[in-house]
Parts: sequence; structure tokens; C-alpha cells
Amino acid sequence: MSYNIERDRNKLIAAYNTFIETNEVDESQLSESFLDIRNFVKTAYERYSKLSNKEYDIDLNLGLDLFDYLNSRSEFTQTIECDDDFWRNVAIYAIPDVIAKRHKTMNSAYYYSKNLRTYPSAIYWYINLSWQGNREDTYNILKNNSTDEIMQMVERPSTIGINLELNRKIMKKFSELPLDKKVIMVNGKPKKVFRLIFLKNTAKLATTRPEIYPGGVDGYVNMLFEDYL
Amino acid sequence: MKKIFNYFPILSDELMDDVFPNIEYSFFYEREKNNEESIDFDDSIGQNITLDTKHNDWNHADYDLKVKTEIHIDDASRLYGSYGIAPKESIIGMGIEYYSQKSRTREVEIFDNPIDDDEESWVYSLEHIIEKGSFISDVDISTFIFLQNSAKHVDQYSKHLNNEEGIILGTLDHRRLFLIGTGSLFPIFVENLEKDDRLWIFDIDYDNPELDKFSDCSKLILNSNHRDYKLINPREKCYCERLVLEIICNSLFMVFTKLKEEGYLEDIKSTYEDGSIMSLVSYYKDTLNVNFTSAKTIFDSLQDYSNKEYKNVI
Repeated sequence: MSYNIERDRNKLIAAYNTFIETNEVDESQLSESFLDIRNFVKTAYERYSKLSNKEYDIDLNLGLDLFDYLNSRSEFTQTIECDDDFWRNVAIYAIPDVIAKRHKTMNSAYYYSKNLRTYPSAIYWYINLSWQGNREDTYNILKNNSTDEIMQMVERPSTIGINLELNRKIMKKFSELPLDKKVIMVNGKPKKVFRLIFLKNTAKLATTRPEIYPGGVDGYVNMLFEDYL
Repeated sequence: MKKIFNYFPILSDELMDDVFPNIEYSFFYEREKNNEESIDFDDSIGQNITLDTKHNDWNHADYDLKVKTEIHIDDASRLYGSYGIAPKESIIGMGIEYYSQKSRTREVEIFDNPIDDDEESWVYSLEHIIEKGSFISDVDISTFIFLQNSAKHVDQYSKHLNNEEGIILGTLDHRRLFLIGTGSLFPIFVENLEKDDRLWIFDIDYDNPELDKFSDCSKLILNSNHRDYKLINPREKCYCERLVLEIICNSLFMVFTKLKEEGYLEDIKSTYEDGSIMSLVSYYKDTLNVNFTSAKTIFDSLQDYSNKEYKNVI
């Protein structure tokens, strides 16, 4: 089985507009792979939206489930994982109604117009960039975060690619910070440490790499957090 | 545009050319277990490396790719000391970074042996495996040197040198390896022209388009001094791939209309010399359905093609 991915942007936008007008998903038009995704996500979303009315709780649990589910599928390869058109297809053809319920808006950014904000991609990559080897450990390091951390984490394109090990260690280290150390005052204004860490990382990557830093990736992560411990 | 200012000396072009005169790449794959075969490649087009997949079974989806990098070093002692880039008694290491923004991947490998402070000639070698299916279409390969160990003592004449471990001291080479597709169509050169010069200049000059290699006769020059260069520089956040494609389509339009004016498109055959200008015409006609009837049909069909498949052209 493989994903039949629509890449014509005009057709994607037309399908998105059709959903806005009709508010209906024509499941008969979905390939088996995308129909499976739709059924899985719909069921998971309904379950989590009943358990909690907090948007972050829904995103976190849905993201964990989606990560598990997609990585169990043989057709879901590393190249599909990074394919923006795949995520647009999921958002527009498979789960546009789920996105509409979750975000209570038809803002095109969550469907196709902003690659990194496409909803299924955002929650998937939030988990992928935080993954600790299993669902339970990953949940535990992420449970105290918010939708702000999702945005800060995934909406940060890098022209030199992503080091997954580095991101996952940053997330683990961040989860170990006491709550009262996750926001600091800078010039009298509260600043989120999570964002400051990633800004520092971007600045440091101009002149070094975690792999060559003293102590390797662990030493590099400790350096990123040294001002905030 | 982001600029990085270095307060310490880093690898200059002169030092680079003298100490690192040559970097060589070779590629291999395991066709069968314990049977490694080499893969030919073309690196004549700018910084691009395109693998020859016509004469072997290798493809990125089914096979890993071994990349072997050999770096020739002459008189590395020039890197150390007050006229170099690192203090005496420090140790300079080398590494290679493999990364892709599209594929959201970055890996770094370090050479086992650092660069010795001596006047000898050496060849350093590093092998790296690119796993099958790990990149969408291409991977950037950047070779660099860095301060692996700092000097315990820095003499008074070397205080201006960087002595911080882990700092990158310079980039030796940067390539883009195309794992899927044919890479860039023609040589692309980035030159520091006048600010008022055009953003891009395309030129083609041939004697016999049925025999002359397209990559030998054509070139696209990008003006890095132009204020809009950031839009066509893949390293910039505002990089616009669509604009690059428009430039390439316009360049191709120039090639095809020149051929048409000179009568070469009256009778297009299905086979020509590999890599020749007319082989490109044949490919665009048969595979990509470009209509060579008139200048307008050429233009329209190039635009149609680029609109559908722009991600695969460059």
C-alpha cells in the first residue's frame, strides 16, 4: 500500500475550499491509506476531547497516538515524514473536520498555507522532536508544557537540518526545570526559558556543533541551560 | 540578511588552497552482500554532485550509499601559531556534516585523527553511510575544521587566536549531492558582480548542438552582490525555490528559441549523444511534453511543466 499524494497546489486549495462550503468529507474519494488515517484520528480525537477540554492535552495525546500509528505503517517512510504535501493531504482530505473542531477556525495555515503549522504535521513533529524511546517517558517529559511549546518547537525551520538527538535531549532537560524556573525576568519583562534556549541554540550553531562541543551533545545541552539552572 | 562576524582569524582562501589542495569524493554501494561496487558521478556543475545511475542498479530508495571523502593536506604547520588560525599546542580536528533542510536531518562525523602540526603531506579519509530513503532528494555535505583541543599555554604572539574548544575554524568544502533526479541542468556559478549588474546572467555558446555537451556550453551566473540574491540563496530563510525555477525556465527558453531560430528544432530525433544539447531537447519533448512549434508554445509548455513539477527540476 502507498500514499497517493496530490501535489497540485490548485487542487489542494480547491478541495480545502470545497470543505469550507460543504463542511463534509467525501470518504469515498479517499485512498485506503488516507481513509485509515482518517478513521484512526477521528476516533482518537473524540476520545481525548471527552477526557479533557484543554487543547494542549488533546494535541499531546493525539500527537503521541499519531506518531505511534504512522510509524507502525510500512508505507510511512522517512521521506514521507518530511513531505509537506503528505501532511497537506492528511489535513485537507483526511481530517479537515477534526482540525476545524480543534482550532475552531478554517485558517488555511492549519491546512496547507504554512508548512510548519499544518496541524497533523505540527503535532507529529512535536512528538518526533521530543521522543524518549517510548510513549510513557515521552508523555512524562511533555505533560507540563503548553501549546506555546509546540509552536516554539516545530515552527523553527533550520537551513542546516535538524539534529533529532539534540532536540530530544533539550526537551528532556527542559522537563527537569522546576516550574518557577521556566519563566525568567529580563529587563523587567517575563521571558519563557523554552524560547530563550532555542534562540541560544540558533546563535551557537553559527560557530559550533553539538558533536564537536566539549562533552558532546550532553555537554552542549548543559551549556544551553547553564544560565537557567 | 544574517551576517556572522568572527573576532578571531579563520581559514582564509589562501591558507585553504595551500594547506588543503584537494578534496576527493567517491561513492559505493553493496549490490549484493559483500560485493561493493563503485558509482561514477559528475561534479562538473558548480558545487553539485550527480550520481550516474544509468550504468548500475543503485537508487536511493533501495540501497544505502557509502560516501568516501579524502582530504589532502600539505604543511599543516601553517595552521598553527601566530600566523595561523589556532595556537601552538592546540589540536585541530576535521569533521563532515551531512544535512538537508527538506529532509529535516543533520549528522556530523569526525575524522579519527586530528591534523598534526607538521610540514608533511597527508591524506585523511572518512567513510559515511547514507541510509536508503533517508533524504528526500539531495543532501548537503560540508567539510570543516574545528578546535578539537585547546592549548594549555598561549604565547603572547598568539593571543589573537581562538582557543575555545568546539569552535569551527573554517569550511574546507561544500557540495550538494543529488540522490534523486539529475541535479542541476547546467553549471551554476555564484560571482560577486557589481551591485547594479543583473541578478542572473545566462549564456550558451555551441558549435554543434548534437554533439556538444550542454554542461560545457552553458552557464548560469548568479550575482551574489545583488540585493535580491538572498531570494535565490538556499542558505537564506527567504529562499524562494519558485524564483529559482523561473530563472531556470527562462534560461531554457533562451536555449530552445536560439535552437529554433537556427533551424535545429525542425526535425527532433529521439536519440542524440549523451549529455548533448539536443539530447536535452529530445528529453523535454518526449518526456516533459514541451511543444516546440513556436516561441509561445515553448514558453507556455515550460511554464506548465514548472507549475506541476517544480520541486524536481533543480
